[in-house]
Amino acid sequence: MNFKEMGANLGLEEDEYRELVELFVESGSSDFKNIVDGLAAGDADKVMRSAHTIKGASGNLGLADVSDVARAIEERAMKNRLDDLDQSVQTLKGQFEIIQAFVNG
Amino acid sequence: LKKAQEINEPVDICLIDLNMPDISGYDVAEKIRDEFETPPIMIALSSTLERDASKCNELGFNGFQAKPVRRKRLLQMIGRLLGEVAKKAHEDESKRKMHTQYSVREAMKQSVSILLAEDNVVNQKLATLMLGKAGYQVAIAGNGKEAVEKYSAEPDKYDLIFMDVQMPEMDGKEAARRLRDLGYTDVPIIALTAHAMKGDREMCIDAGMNDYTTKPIKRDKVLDIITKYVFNRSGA
Repeated sequence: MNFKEMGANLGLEEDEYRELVELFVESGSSDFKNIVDGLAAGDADKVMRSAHTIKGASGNLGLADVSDVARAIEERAMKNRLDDLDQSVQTLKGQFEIIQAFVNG
Repeated sequence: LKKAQEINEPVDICLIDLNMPDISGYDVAEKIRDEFETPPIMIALSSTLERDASKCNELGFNGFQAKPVRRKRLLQMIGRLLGEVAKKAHEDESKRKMHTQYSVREAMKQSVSILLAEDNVVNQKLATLMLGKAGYQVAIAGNGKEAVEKYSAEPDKYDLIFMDVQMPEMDGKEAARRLRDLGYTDVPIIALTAHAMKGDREMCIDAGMNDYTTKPIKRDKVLDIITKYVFNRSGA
């Protein structure tokens, strides 16, 4: 990930973009926890809302891969289909870890 | 107006209601332009802004204000127009003129205040940075209810509202509806929607919003919208 380039796409400096990504990782990890909790509790609405939040934030930051996975989870939850989401949730978790590593960089 | 001409007292600014008995505002403007070598700044007042705009331009009006006239907008416009006159008087070089126009525009931006209704903290911060760097003032509301409260508390403060559609507590459509019901019919409300679905635009317009843009937020689009609804609207 090139923070400088990704920031420039939004008209931001590298450090401003980095700050946004940090905020995303921080707020996103609680949203991610909500997805996991929602799945465990069979709470489709909770899963949907949390996935929606991650989708929106990552999409705006240009983190398209994260946004795509979050959208897939949101759409499944919208249809109240919480089965078979483990793969997507694992993918999302991995993506968060990668971004976190970059932020710590 | 003729009297003013006779005693030769310089008038700097004329506010002219377009819809007057006997002689319309258009005729007045035409007359002023014909009879004065350097006509004063003329601002048209009309309740049907859009229809009259091009005609006003032709007749040499410097700006338009929709009725009911709002104090802040009118003062902003007068300040801007006086600035332009002063500028014209003092600067001949076209290069410098362009530079000044740019500065005036930048100065105008500083006085433009935007209310953003958005629940996502990352998006809040991104929009604040983006719009702040572009020179605008930004205030945040965390949901629709807060947006209605914030706007109603200081309706003259904000020039435009960006409204996320999907928010907790009160969504953007409901918030827009309430603002319009409260009589705030003038302020542009722009929906930020995650769905590019057909019918979504109609739902936002039905709720009283002026336009929409889809997320993820595109910087250029957002800035274009502000130009369209804030600057062009006030005749800039």
